[in-house]
Amino acid sequence: MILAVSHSYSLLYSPKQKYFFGGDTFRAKRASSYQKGNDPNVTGHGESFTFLPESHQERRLVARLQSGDPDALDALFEQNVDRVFAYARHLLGNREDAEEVASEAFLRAFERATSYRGECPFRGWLFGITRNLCRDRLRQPRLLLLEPEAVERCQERNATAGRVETHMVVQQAIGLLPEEQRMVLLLCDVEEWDAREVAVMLEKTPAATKSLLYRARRALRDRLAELWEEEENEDAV
Amino acid sequence: MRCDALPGLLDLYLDGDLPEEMARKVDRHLLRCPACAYEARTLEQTKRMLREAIPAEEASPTFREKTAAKLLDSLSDRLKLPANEPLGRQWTLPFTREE
Repeated sequence: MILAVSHSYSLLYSPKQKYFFGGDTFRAKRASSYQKGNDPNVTGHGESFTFLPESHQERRLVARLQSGDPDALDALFEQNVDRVFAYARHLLGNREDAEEVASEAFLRAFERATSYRGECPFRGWLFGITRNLCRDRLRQPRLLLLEPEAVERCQERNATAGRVETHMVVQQAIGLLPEEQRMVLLLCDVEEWDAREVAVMLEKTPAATKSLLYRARRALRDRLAELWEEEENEDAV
Repeated sequence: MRCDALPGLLDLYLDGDLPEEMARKVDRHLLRCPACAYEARTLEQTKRMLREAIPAEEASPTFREKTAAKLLDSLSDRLKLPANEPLGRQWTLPFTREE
């Protein structure tokens, strides 16, 4: 039996095994193998991609995309989809908006790929588009609704009531930080991405990113201490 | 090791990025210095609480599939797809082949 798959569905996902299949040859890789930055090698088209700024592989893929190679589009999408989504998700605070923005960012980046001249890493360019789309979205008037996801996620993970309360205080504390500090914490300490990758996303040098991260950790600790002190004072009254 | 050497090393130590010899020196200092040990413990606790409170994000399989299909559809005029199948290319997955 030969199974023919439409190119439109060249990225097939097996939820059980978390493998993707796609491209001109059989390719399989763990979906999570490159999302945490620990082992960032991504296999595609017989090449090994290292998720680092300005990789030669990325430049080759962009050149192939510019010449109309659909496999290069597949590979660039796969390399970046988790990161673009997570970045938008953390900036916007909800899944629906993040999915819309991530989808639009890919479309714009690939549509404009012909005008990309490699002045900066393609990934940095893609994240720049994502960031601008997120900021546009945040400027749009919206109903201020309490995001229920945080509570739901805690409940999904069977957290105890005390733990849910702690999680809410942490989320409140991180919300009090300036955007740059918040993002560097979420990308480095939650997503566990390499500081060099985060530097590309934040348009900073790796050294400046690490310095920002270290300041952000201390700022979060101090905000948490303040919030708990307030809480204890209220309880004491 | 003196206390004033620690601020530049503490985050590297907590992230496991210090060379072994240097990490041992920090270990020894933290055992002897309550103020630095407190600083290290509160930072470590903050990192742990952050990770517990906010999960890492991942694009859902549905989103991946929909977006991949949308991209191919929207960009089909710029991609070199086979002429007889403008929006579809036949893939053969080796594991499905009959021996």
